[in-house]
Amino acid sequence: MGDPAACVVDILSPDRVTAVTTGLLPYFSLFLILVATLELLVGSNSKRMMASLAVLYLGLFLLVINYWSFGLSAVKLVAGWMALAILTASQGGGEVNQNPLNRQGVLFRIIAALVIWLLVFLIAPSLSFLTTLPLPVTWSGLILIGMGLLQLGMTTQTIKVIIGLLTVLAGFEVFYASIESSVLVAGLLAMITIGLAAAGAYLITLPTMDESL
Amino acid sequence: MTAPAIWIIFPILMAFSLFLIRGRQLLKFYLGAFISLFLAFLALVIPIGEVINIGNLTIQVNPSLIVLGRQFILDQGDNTILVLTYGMGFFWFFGGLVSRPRTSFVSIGLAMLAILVAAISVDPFLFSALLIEIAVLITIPMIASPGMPAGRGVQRYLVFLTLGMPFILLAGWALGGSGANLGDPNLIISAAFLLGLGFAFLLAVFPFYTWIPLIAEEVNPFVSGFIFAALPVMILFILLDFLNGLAIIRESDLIFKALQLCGILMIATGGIWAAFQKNIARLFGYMVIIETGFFLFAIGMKSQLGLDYFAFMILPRMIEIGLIALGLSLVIKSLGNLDSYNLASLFRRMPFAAGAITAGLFSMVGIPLLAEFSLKFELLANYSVRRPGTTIWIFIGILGSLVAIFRFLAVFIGNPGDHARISESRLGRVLILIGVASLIFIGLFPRFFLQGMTQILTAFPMLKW
Repeated sequence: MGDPAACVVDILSPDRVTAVTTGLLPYFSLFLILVATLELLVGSNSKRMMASLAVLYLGLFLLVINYWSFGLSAVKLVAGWMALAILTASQGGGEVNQNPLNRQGVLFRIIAALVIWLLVFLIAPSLSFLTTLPLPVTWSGLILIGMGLLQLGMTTQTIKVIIGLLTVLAGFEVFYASIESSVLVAGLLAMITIGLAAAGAYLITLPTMDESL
Repeated sequence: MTAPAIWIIFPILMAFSLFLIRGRQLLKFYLGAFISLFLAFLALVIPIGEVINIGNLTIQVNPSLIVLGRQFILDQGDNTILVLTYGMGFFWFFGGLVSRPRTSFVSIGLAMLAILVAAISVDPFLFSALLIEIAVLITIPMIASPGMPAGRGVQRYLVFLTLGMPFILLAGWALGGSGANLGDPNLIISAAFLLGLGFAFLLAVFPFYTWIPLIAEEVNPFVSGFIFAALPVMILFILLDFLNGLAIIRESDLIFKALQLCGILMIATGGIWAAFQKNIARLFGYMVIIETGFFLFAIGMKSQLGLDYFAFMILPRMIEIGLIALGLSLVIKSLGNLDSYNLASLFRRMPFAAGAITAGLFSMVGIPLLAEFSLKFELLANYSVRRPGTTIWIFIGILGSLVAIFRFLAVFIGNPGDHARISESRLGRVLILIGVASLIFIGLFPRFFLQGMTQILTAFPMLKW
């Protein structure tokens, strides 16, 4: 039946807020990550893809904040959004793909994503046991890695390859944040995130660049 | 003054300064070569950690530098690696005067070498994966030329080398930072698997080596040659550093067997694919894969002999890659592309470039009198006594590469047609002559020239069997 005193506890008490935060926040992050990675996989509109990438990094931030201080977690969010800004600057704002996916293509990718999700939900409990991370955090990390690898395997478009790499890296960061809280690691990983985006932007703009550069 | 400040921070600052110089193409190559030579010379003469008295001046170069709580350590054992790294930088930047890649090559190349030195020196060593990734990212502007879309090779290079980083970080945590019971065999297997996968990506082990022939084909051969010469060797040093630092891995037979198997797979598959190549740049890529396979094979022997041969093979490999890259870049500059139909009668048209390519390829495959003959002969003779069955796969690989080389040789000496002789620059000819002569002299007196290379192993004192 539970403790009767709990019935009269103030809904905004710190304990209650902490419980809600630690209980629901990873699920909320998981939802954000699911939506964002699916849009990144099937989408072809650059503005929507960049918005999805922003949501993805918000989800990552909300997961990492459970292990790292607010300041250090914010590094991930800022680095992710900076990467997003760099990629956005290299895009024209229209369709990413010259030949947008047809309905069958979208359906195929959705089915592939569902298979990845299924695999993740099957694998996650054993991995969660090994890493001692809560299940929704493990789900989120594995979904990011799985969807990123799926993205990498399905495209040769530079922008999508870079987004795939950023997604895989974000998934890895979910796990790594729980075991390593070094400032140098956080800094180097942020540098790599931004560097990947810069390399991607360079590769995207290559054909239009002056050859004498 | 600290050693990391001299060999890491100073070259990075110099690279940045060189990047800012605009329009003075030749000056950048001269400066890059001079800075590299200066750093190699300093590594040769400065005893790290000891007090040096020059007149009234007393200098001590401390081996470590602390950055954000982590140490970068370059001690006396790393001297040979530093000489080799910056010596290679000197030859490549000086060779750039002949080959003339884009001028950003010097600044990015110098920064890449400095970051790779940082990757070797960082403590704890699992951070090296992050630094390698940064080195890879900065090379992207060097290998992808403006004015044309990025090829598949550049994309794969970026993807495979980026995917290697997380595995090494996780392996480092599992082995060093987890605090878990290191006697647990499951943990060792998991960590060895993560480590193996990470290095498989970084070293372009089978089947992750597809980017090498693609890069060789898409990128200026001089630039791709620099990447092929620097990156795998430095990553192998980091692998040895891992093995040196982790007793649990060092004493396990599993990882060495895996390394040897990977090496044999790379030699066999690389050789078989090489036999079917119609573009000599792709053949160059496959020869690099085979060479890396030999390195892994030697390390995987888990013996002092294997380690000695690993050290011996480094210098010949650099000269061979340098010669082939220089020769190919001269050919591509004059003829436009490297497809076999375009290379007919190359010996008559560009004798020095053709000679450089042929000597480099022959030496790589281990033809008698050239640098790698005695090394590969002794390595394989020693190994074949113990495992004759496995050696056959290595011979298949060598045979495949020989078939490809002889096919291109036939093209080089084929019908002269009405092709006129193309003039080759004097500096280019001198560099090629020096390179070919070095391969011959090393081949004739291998111990005399290569014995000093075993000094590299002093950086890994725990690797003694």
